Amino acid sequence: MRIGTSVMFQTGTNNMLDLQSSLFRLQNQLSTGRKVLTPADDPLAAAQALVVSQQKSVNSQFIDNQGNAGSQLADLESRVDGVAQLLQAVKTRAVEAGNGAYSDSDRRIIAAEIRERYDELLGLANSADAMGNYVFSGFRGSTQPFSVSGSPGARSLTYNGDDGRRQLQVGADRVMDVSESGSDLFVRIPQGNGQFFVTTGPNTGSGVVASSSLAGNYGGSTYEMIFTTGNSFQLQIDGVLQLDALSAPIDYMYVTGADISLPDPDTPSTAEVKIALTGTPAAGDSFRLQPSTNQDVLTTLDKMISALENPVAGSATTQADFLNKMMLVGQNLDQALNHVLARQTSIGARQIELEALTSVASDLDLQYQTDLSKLQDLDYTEAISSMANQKMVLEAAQATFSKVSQLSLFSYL
Amino acid sequence: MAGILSSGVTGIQAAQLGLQVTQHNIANVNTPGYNRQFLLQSSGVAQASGSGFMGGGTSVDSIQRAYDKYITQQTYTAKSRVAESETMLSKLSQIDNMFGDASSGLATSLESFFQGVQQVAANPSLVSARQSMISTSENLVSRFTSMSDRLGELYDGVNSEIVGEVELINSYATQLAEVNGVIMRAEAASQQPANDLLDTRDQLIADLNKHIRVTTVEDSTGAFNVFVGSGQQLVVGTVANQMVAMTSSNDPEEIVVGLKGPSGVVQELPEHLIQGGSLGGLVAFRSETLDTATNSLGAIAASLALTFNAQHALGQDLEGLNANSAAPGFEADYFKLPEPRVLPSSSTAAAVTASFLPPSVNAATGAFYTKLTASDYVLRSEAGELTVTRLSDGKVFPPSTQPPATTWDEINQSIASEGIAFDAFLSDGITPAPLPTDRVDYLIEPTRQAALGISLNPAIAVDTSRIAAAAPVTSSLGAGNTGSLSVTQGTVSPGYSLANLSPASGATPAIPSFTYNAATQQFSFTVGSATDPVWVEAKYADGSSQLLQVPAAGTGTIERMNPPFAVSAAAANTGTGTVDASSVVSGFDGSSYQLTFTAANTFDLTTTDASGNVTTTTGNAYLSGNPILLGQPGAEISIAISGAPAIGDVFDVNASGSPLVGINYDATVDTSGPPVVTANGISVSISGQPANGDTFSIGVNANGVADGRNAVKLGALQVQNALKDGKSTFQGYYASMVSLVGNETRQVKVEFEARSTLLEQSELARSMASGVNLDEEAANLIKYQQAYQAAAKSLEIASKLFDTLLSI
Repeated sequence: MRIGTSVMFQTGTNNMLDLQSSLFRLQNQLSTGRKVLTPADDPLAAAQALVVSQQKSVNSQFIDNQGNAGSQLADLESRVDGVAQLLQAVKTRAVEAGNGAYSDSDRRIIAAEIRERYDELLGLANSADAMGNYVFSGFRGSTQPFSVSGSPGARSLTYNGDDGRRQLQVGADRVMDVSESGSDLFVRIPQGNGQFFVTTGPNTGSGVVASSSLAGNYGGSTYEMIFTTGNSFQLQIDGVLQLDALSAPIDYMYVTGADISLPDPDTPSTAEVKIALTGTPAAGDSFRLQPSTNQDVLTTLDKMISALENPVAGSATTQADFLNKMMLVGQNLDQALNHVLARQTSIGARQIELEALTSVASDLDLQYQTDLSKLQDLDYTEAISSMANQKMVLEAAQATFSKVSQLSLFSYL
Repeated sequence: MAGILSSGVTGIQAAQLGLQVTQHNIANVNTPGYNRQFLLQSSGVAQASGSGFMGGGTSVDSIQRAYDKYITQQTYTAKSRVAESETMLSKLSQIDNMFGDASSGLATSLESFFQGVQQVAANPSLVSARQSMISTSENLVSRFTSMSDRLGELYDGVNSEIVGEVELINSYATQLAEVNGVIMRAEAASQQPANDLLDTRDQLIADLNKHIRVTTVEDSTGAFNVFVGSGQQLVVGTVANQMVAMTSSNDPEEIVVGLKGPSGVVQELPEHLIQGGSLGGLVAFRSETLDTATNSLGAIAASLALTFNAQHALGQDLEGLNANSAAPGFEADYFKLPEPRVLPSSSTAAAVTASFLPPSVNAATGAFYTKLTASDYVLRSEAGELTVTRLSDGKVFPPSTQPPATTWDEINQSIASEGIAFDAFLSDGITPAPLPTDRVDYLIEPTRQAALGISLNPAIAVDTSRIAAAAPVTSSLGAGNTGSLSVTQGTVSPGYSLANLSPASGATPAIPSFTYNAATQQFSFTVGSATDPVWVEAKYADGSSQLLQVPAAGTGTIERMNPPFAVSAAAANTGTGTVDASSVVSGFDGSSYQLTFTAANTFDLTTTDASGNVTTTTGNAYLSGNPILLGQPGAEISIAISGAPAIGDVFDVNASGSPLVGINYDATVDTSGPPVVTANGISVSISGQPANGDTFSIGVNANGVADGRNAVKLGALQVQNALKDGKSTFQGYYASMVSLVGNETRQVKVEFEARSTLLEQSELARSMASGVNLDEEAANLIKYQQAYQAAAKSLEIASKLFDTLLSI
């Protein structure tokens, strides 16, 4: 078989060039640590790596957002906690103020403290975060949420924010609220026990509401007890006077401290609510039980101040009026506190959820990193051994080429 | 004696020639295309004598080259293929590197762009966050531009290389024609093969094949005729036709190849005819990869701009401006995007323009997506009938089974699946646009320019407050609410209107306002001082929905009827037809239907719609138990009747229940999900247990600087399937594009290696037949030297014999 001399040289050279280029590639892989140098090396892995690296980037964005949401919620939580502690303190004072031994001046000292508390609570409600955004104004970050008009004891509160809850995307399918609106936290708080509340008078007797509770399903009626004598009263349900079979007003007996069952207007034999009074109401005194309406917590504080600052001065009537007012204030403070605690619980639940999300996201981050490494990173052991192998082959090729090329018949001529 | 002398002389002459040929071979050992030459020697003519035939020495008949036609042809083809692969590979690896590289690819820019959006979502009022979103957007836009610039450079490179290749091919063709002539003349004169000229011609053809694949046919005169493509003549005998690099008739930016015939007429060669060689590689690279890569990148840019803009348009900027604001200044478009390019093949043709369709909306998630493809299209009008052909797969719109399209509206309808539409009106919006000129091809490149032309809206770039990070609406609960009613914050869909919402200010409830009545378990609603009618719709989790148009300033009545309609057989029916199952297919619009049987298996259908319009269709087919569809698309119901109704039997379908005021809401019934209430394109969903008299309202989002809801939705576009008809994310699409180019490169690389091996093998085979081996030539030298010496010796002996005779 004849081999053309030039082809022999060409082939030898080509083989060595091939070996060199594959060595160069290996060296390149070793020095970058990457298995896939260009997408053509492994198109599938390159495409997957792009997708995984986006997932990783989105995931780390979620981790960022979770951190962001976490700090906003922590900030919110501490403010809401401040409100709860303040309300707790006010509630303690409200109980103290009900102490019969307290004089008018004692109560005025308490009132002075509650005035401070009022300002403190207003400050909390109007507080701004590190960015200068008001915390409790909904979406209206640059609008001060609460403004107050009137003098202490007769102040009215206006909410200038909206119902917006700021949101952050903390997971692929989870958008989390990271703020509470002031209207929700401070304004929409039902009075009394949440379903109904009791108001009095203006009365002249010494009748005091001792307790009121549910006896069945409260349907939202308004009951008004109008005393005709010190121990009997007539009842209006939703403004309708209760009459007996002869169309004469029914006289209900009043025993101090005893539960009075108020009937369901639809089925008069069953009681909807129970109320107990103590003391001696005067004729014409009235006690109204009506469905709860909302009262903001600052107005509740203001009403407390007003009640505390009104001198009782040993009069049974003013004493009863004071006690009745404080009864409602106490109930309303309970409502406000429960409301705030419920929001605090909800914030806490979101913080716990965030922790869980972050833990999952961190695990995912590691997983994505592992996936990426599998797709892109070089197996050094394999590469180094293959490098040694290729080197040996190239050396052999070079050695034999130089030997073979020296063989020529002309050397013998 | 004389015989000895003369045959000795022939031996010396033959040996001399042999030495010359051997020296020629040795001298050309490294000459490309050289074929080994050898003597064709035969014994001399014998002369008859009494003692028998006396040999007459030797004679050299010819000097031939060791040549195998078939192996040589094989090396031509192999060379042509290697050159093609090599050219493609060198071009492809440039794109491949650019796409895959983290610093030059799109992936990282896309990621940091969405990170910028997320920062605004987290801190909507923070100017620095907004500025960072602008910066990352500018970075993304410039990445798009630089990538398409790079692709553009490759286009330019391909164009200028085509020009160079064509020049080279022409020069080879001219040389071939000349050599053809020289060979014909030389061989005719000597009647011997012109070995070295033949080698020269073979080498020319081999070189030509490196630039374009040619086929050769030897004619009776010994000349080679050279053809390209499917038999287009490049060289005929001593005449060379010229190739011409010219501007494409379809795309002014493309250089294509034409062939000038003997008559001087230039004909454009279709790209599929240009195969092999570097020219074939260039053309294949352009049409197979470069176009696809540019269009795909454009599809990403266009889809990103279209979906982002659509979501951005639903937002509200930091100054409270939104798409509904009377005051100017709202910027709906975040990105600016060039419209699809339309290129007519004739400069005198009527101008046609096209636009992108607005992105589609996923009904379930509200996410935007486009239907754009990476293909180009051709619009053609034949006798007024318009067709559009998708070039990637040859699909024709409208398909031949459908009636032909003759107006812009009709053709636009059939190409709606491609995400583009032709403009039916000129830019003034009134004058109808002219239809395309008959028998002119309009090339439509929807996404070719998108990546190059995408830009950030300059009005937003200079004023970060124009980023619409907030949503334009909020919902609010009544201050007196005591129940646990909860209402989502409100989302808007394209085409929403704030026209009837009074500004939400603290205590004043916004309009429309919804109030709950515990006794009827309904929300009633009031539309205030509205100038336009308000559309209110309630959609329940069980799929039923009710839509109502409330005239300006009025009270709404929406009755949820579940089931919303009833089917009844008339009392006077005499047949055995009974009513089977019935169901809502896509909705119920409140129409009533009457089916009157006119035969055992046909009935007339009378439809009375909600506004009282009556329509009747006759001769509808009836098959016992088969569902009968009633109503129109979007509001279809299905009923079924079985048995044998008699002629004249009547079945009625009527809305059931009597309408009541308000939207039915019963928390205990709607357990499968909260109902959604939509007013003028603004939606909220309701949950919780409202107390009697509790209210909620939908209002504008005034002073909502801390609201990042729209930015959250903009950010979510990153993980939504916004491309390919809602089947791929931006990054996923880019990844598939990278994988496509990577695969292509890999394939060409493998092909290149295989073809190189093939070439090596055919070179080896050729060298076996025609190659010069120096050892062999050394042996030949010795062989001819010894033959020469022996012949000379025989002369000496003859001379000595002669001397012997003379000395006698």
